[in-house]
Amino acid sequence: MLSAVFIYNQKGEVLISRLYRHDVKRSVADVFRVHVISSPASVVRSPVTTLGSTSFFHIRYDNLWLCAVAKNNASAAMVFEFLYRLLGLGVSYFGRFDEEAVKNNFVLIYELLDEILDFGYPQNMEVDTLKLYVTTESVRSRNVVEAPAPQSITMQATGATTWRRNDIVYKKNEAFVDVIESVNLILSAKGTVLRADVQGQIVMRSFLSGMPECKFGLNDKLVLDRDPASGSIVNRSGGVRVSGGAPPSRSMGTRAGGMGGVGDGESVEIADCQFHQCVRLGRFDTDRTISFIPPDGEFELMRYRTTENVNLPFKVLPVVRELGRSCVEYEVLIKSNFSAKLSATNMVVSIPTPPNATKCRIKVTGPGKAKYNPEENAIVWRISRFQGLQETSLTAVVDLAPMTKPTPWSRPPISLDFQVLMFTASGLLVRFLKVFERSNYQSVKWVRYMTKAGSYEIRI
Amino acid sequence: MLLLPLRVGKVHDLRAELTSEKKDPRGQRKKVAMKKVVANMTMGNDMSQLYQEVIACMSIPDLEVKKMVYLFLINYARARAEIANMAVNGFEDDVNDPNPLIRAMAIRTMGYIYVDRVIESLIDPLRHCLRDRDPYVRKTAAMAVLKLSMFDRSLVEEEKFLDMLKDLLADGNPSVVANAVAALTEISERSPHIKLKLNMKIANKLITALNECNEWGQIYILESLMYVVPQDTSDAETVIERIMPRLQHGNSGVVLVSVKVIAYMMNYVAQTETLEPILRKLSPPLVTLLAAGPEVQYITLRNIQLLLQRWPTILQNQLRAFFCKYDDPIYVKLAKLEVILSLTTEENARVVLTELVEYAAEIDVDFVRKAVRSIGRIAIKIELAADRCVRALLDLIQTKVNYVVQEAIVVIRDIFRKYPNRYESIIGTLCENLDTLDEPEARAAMIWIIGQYADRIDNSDRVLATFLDTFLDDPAEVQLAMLTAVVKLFIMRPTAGQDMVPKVLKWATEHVDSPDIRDRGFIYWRLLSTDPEMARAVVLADKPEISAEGERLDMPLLEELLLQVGTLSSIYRKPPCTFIPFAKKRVLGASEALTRLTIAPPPVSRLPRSASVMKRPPSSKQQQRTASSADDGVGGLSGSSSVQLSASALDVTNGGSGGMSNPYINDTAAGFMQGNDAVLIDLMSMDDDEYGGDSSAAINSGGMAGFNASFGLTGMNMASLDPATRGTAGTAPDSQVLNSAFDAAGLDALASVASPMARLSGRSGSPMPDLMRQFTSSFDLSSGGSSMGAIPSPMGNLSFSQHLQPQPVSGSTSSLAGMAGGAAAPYSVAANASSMPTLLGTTVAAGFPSVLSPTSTVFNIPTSTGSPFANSAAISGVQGNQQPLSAPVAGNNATLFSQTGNNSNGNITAAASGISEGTATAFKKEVDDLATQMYNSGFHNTTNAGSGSGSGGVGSGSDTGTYVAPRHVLLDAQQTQGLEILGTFARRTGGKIQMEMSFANKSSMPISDFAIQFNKNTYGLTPSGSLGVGTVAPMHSVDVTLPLTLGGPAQAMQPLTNLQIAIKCTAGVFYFQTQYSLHILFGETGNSDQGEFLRMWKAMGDAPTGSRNVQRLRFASMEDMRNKLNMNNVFTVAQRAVAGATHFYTSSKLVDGSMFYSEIKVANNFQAAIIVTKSTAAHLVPLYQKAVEDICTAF
Repeated sequence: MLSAVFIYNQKGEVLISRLYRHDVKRSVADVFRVHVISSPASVVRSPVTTLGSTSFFHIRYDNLWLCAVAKNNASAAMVFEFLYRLLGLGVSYFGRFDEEAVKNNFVLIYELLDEILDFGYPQNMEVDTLKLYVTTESVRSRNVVEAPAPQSITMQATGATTWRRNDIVYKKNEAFVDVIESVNLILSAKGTVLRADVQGQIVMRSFLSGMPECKFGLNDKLVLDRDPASGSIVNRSGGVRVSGGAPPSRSMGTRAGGMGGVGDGESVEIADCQFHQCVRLGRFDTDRTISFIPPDGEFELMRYRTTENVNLPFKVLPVVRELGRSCVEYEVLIKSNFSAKLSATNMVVSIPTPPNATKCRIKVTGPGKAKYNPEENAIVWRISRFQGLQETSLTAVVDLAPMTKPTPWSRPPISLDFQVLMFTASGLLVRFLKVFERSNYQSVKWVRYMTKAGSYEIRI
Repeated sequence: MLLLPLRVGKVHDLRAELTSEKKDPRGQRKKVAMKKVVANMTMGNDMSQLYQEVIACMSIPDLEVKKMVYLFLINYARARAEIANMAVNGFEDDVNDPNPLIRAMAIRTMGYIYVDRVIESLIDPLRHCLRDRDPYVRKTAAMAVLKLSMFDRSLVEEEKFLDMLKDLLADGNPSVVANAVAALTEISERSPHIKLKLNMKIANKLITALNECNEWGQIYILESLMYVVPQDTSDAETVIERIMPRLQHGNSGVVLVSVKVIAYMMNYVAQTETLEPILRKLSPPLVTLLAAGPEVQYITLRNIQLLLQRWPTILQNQLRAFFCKYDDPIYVKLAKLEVILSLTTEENARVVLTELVEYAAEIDVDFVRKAVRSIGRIAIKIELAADRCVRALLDLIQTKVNYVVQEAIVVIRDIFRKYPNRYESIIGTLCENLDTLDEPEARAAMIWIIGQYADRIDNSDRVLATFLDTFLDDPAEVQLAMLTAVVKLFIMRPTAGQDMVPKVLKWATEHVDSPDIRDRGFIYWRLLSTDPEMARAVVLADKPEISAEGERLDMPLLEELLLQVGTLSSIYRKPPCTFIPFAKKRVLGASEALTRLTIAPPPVSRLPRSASVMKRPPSSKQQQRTASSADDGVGGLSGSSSVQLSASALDVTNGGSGGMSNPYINDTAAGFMQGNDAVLIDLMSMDDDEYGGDSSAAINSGGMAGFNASFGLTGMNMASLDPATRGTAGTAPDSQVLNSAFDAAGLDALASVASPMARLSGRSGSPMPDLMRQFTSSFDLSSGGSSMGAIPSPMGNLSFSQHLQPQPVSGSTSSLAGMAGGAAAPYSVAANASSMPTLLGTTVAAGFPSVLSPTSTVFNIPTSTGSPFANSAAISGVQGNQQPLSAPVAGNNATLFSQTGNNSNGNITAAASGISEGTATAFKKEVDDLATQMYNSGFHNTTNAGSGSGSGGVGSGSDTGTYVAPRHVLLDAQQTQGLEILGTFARRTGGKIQMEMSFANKSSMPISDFAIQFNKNTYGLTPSGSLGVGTVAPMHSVDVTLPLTLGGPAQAMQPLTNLQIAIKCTAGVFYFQTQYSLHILFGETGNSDQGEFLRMWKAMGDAPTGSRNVQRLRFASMEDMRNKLNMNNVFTVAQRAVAGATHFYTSSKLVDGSMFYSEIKVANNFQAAIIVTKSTAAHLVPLYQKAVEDICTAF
């Protein structure tokens, strides 16, 4: 288990140092600084460093180094998970988690560290509960509820639903579901798909009173195959309300006619999924029902992964020719591969150029503007809006400076960044979200879909 | 110094603020002041002077102030007792506060302050808090118990806190349960005599609590399930099934610890059909973790590697998920590359290769190198892809990127090794890059290639000559390669090499400091000057196969690491005890249900791995070792094993003077045994009370001690030694020659020798530290007088044996390691305290490619503990070199192993060659063996000739380890018109059951078209291959081995081991029946620990037992006997000496799962023994005992 936690700034100065065990001294903070932070190697070769019998686990965020120290054969995954969570707490408490925030809130951070780790064992790290009794001025003022009795805090902090207080009241009960998919693609230079998968995230923002029991359904192939009737029953039973809200939101139950490539009744094969700790894993295991009592506010309900039938939103056809040592020619054609009713926004195509590029002549036919960015060694092509079933192309000639020692160009891949609303690359749809609460209130639910680029690489 | 007044001023100001009398009803002012104090503290300013004022603030009824005061106390009180003492009153108030948060905080803080008074005043409140009605307080109190135990372990036990913790396991609140579990787990991990054992009942309760726990609590509970030893398969299956849903958890810590528990439990699953779906379910979550943060990805990848080795079928068809993204951190990329390599099969090799070529163009040098190296490995692993790989490598060489070229050349050397006479056409291209090679490994590889093909490269002499200029400046690795290459050149093209050879040999022997090179130089010199033909045979011998399974871990290590999934240990691939001082070794708990099943992938897709990993025989271990050394890419040049061979040869030529300097002495390890570490561990974790006054316990600990003695002596680098030792663990230990004698009371010491890790943990985690200390005495007997007669020739062969006569009380054991090449080099000898007054015989003999005398001279050397004794050697009958030897030679058991650590002198040599009566082996064979070894000296770290059915050179008595009944006539020529079949049944290393037959044709017509069929029999024994007999010419005979498998149609026979066999051939169809010895059905997994043995022995108290008297056992020592039994899967659980006799306790497991537990009482003169057996299958006991008797009385 952890013996100490340190937070350093970029330079390696210790901002926070909390020792939990007597087997380390504060001076180990220096050991890490000397061996890792100030190490001459520019790239960190491993997130874990063991010196003697002392192991340091670190992650970096913004201008901070978060470092946990262990003297035993610690479970590395747990330690990193703890550090991620610590980061999350910081962000949640202070909005930004950087040197500034740490310096301004060190007392609170110490309080948190005292609470979330006992003798190096992670304890309750749920923001909601912690905010009940580890508070800053600012956090407290936002808390509408008066400080609850200590007993209810302790019940909360140790109970079966540590992530939720039981005294939450909303006038209007609403739940927002965001389905956010990241498409990962590696396309070979010859145009074959080496790897395509979708990492999905279902983020929920719940503003529901009391202790609501939620049930959540997707067009999961395993569920639909087993019980094709259940889907329609659910739809008719009207666990879902239709309401014409803001454009990006789509009320549940209506089929996504505009959803790229996914027709009605189609189901998605989910390769694997992971859930927030509020989801009852046992039930999912037996009948693939996703049931849970949600935390209040925003949380990531689940993550999933699909590898079959990925609808790639963009096709990229690059031709890159190195003409001798003096010049490289590019022809890049991009086609959007989703319904014409939808469009991609904030699209950025980064086309790498050799490090010794001097001048670029670029021509774009179609939407978007491109220019050569010498710092990144790339032509950056920005397309603010890209309609479905459209295409655009770029041609460029890049002149190269002669090199004294010619080294071959490693030809890094072209990468894409984009967002497409109301489109899921996996074809996943939310079928229902049902909320049951003792007081039997009506609730409104909204769902939104977005696909963005994960690591969308096209080799050249 | 300027700062000092400033700081004092600050302290002064703060003091004023803290003591201010101003109105401060809610403590707001003081809160601000306290914040300043904490701020200063964080910056490292000493605020301890303010302690009185700060402690006074404890009375302020504000949680935040209190927290800061506590923080202050934690910071300063641990160093300054007076501060702590002053705070005690405040604490005492707080632990009785009505607010549970404050109570908990007080308890929590007090636990951090290791000051006697605070701890004293903690004890009473803690007891109350453990029963507090508030769960938050209880969970904090549970942790406080752990804190207390770290301060004073005995206190926790005296005050019965452990029991209270145990009670908390049944607490209604999941967080409390989780913390109690965490505390108990750690207490047991750190305590030498507390061992956590959970039964299924508790386990089930804990698993139920899982659902309600927060994520961290789930981790603690899942972790504790590692302390459940399933008693039958259904236990394991239940646990797996119930925790399977955890794989869907969003916290990667939960997922990986679940994987760990499942991986552990899978060892207890009996059915492949059950295992398969489990493995299938494991894959997706592992792939999903690759979408987590890079740190978690890295951990996952490292663990996937381990899981893949154990269960090669997981992650099938998931290859693409491991393709590297351009912006993956380098550590993720490198780890992915390893997984990709493991997942490469014939089908996907092409895709992988394209991918690797892509990586080879990236920027990071390490990554590129590893990619290039991986291409070479694929070539070696998958023959069909080799062409493509070579082409890819050639393309890469054309890029002229320096490090790519060098790396490519290194792997091409391995490809040449693997596929001789296939790709030599590319040598020309390689030679174009001679000038750019500046890395030793690449230079050495290139030189090897040139030397190897010296006769095909027209100007090989000139090319080699270019390397000559720098010879004396080159690193040892290159010099060694050069030396060998030049000798090869000379042998292949004497005219071309004749100028170079003397020069290089002279340099090597006179100007080079490295003993490796010097020795090699001498050996070549001798070879060339005495017998060029022999030199040719030695230097140009066929090379053993290499395989690509590079970083494969050997099974015991892998098994241990798999019990550490997700931890640091799994990332570093080192057992925790190598870097954590207090770590206990984990082993698979012995249980009847322990099956260690694995599922082999479809045979086409993977090469050597298709064999069931678990049942890997020693011989394949050896292959692994060979492979890995090839894989190290070091080419075994530095510190190579056979170099030791030559090292001692050198010593011989020097006249074998007494005090030869041997650089390896300190790292000599003793011992060869089957990797049977389970025995050791269970001994250590044995419950004392369970054992009571049983003398065997004491004896075992003596054994431990003995073993530790040797360990203490050798003082080697465990981590790096480990694979080497294991690699050689397979030498047939019961051949007439004992590689190392490690006798006396220490039965398990022997077992442990094979596994140094076990020893290490033994030292740190043994429950009998006192005994150990008492017994641990080590003496270096080696440096003294190791006297050797002058040996006129390096090929002199000598054999000698030594007998130590231990003193009655502190007897001595000699562990003699590292006898190489015929010289009694002064290796270390460990003397172990022992209480067994037996004679101990160590026979060490070494074979060398020369004429040798079959008789070994025996010296009896009475040795008292601690005195250096002389290893005397007798060289008998060194005759001329040329004539073939007709003397019977068997069981050549030369084992060389080395350690390639970073310590330059880290080397071990242990070679023992045995000569015994037995089958006759031609001299040539012997030479071949040696040639192989010699070859290896130029290429491999480890040569392991002579063990089991290992690669390359093994004398004909190769498999002397396992008992094979003498052949008897199955079919008589009289009844079959001339076909006579003699045959017997054997179980060879690795559990290969086979029928060994010779078909003799005594008719005048050739007989052909043989086929064989078995009738249904008791255990469903059927031939698994075809009968490889072609045509047997008249008056000729053919020897054949027919592999058998179990699982065919079964039907009980009478007697049970009866077999009805039909043979069809051109001479007709013949039926006969025969019986096999039951031992061929003894499984490799039949070893149980002492606890288990005792339990079963007691449990079967009323079971029918059998007893059998056996006469005239054929053993030289108890050692020998144990080895022989172990080799035949009659595993020694314990051994103890009583007056004039030794009692062995053994266990065996029949393939059908029946267990046999025996007590074998052996008279020390081996004239008689009594075997008493209890078994779950009583009807088999007579057959079992017959088999044991046969093993014991066979030659």
